[in-house]
Amino acid sequence: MEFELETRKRIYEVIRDSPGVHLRELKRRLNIVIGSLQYNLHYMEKKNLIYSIKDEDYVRYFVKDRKLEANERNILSFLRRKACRHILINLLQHTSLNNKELSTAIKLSPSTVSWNLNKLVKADIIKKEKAGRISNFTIVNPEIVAELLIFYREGFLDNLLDNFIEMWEIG
Amino acid sequence: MISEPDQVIRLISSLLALLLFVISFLAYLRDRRKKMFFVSAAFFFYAVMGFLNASDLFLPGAGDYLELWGSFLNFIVLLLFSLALLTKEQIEDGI
Repeated sequence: MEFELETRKRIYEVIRDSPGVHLRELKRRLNIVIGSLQYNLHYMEKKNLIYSIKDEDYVRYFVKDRKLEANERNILSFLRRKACRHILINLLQHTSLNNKELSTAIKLSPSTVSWNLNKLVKADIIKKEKAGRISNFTIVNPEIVAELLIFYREGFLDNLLDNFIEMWEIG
Repeated sequence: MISEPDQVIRLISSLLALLLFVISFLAYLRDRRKKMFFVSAAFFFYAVMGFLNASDLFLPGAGDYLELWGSFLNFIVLLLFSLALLTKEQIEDGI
């Protein structure tokens, strides 16, 4: 899942930066086997992230201008935070995890993970399911989160703030 | 007129503290974490302290007061940094 997401994100970024790029050029730039590239392009077209136009010689790809809905903007604002983004990527990979497992996976203290989980639960992006004394977490709408991860673009300010916050994550 | 090298350094330190205050305050606004609030307050008071130290050039008569305020702000800054380091986010029941 993570590999596919990463591949789709790379494809999306090349198309966004070079509108009208064609399949062979994408293959050359990304060094992805043609079958996998076609599969991912087809998926992204189906999900309305990109569209294609056939000219005389090539099928050319463009990103779609997409108006985000309120819940998508909400998810995107959480994806801008490194800790939340890593939590969501891990939950996409494993479907359901508890605090301890997430804390080990993303190498953050349980209290920090708990704080972020709580925010994500309150925002209805993930849901908590109690199993005895332990709570497991799952993403409410994994399809949308996966799409937005492709769409998401790292910003200088967000990186700066993430690095600054990490400096104070002790214990 | 700022001419003494140490005052120039103090002024630059204050400007740097002000920049760190802006970054930490933006981090607080984004995440609303208590820890970040203490850090941003500490940098804010550090910047104020620096400007006060540099201001004895502009307010030469206020030497004693400035020294007292400087020491008090120094204490506040260290207290806020300590609180930031000691603050842990609450682990909610079951999370």
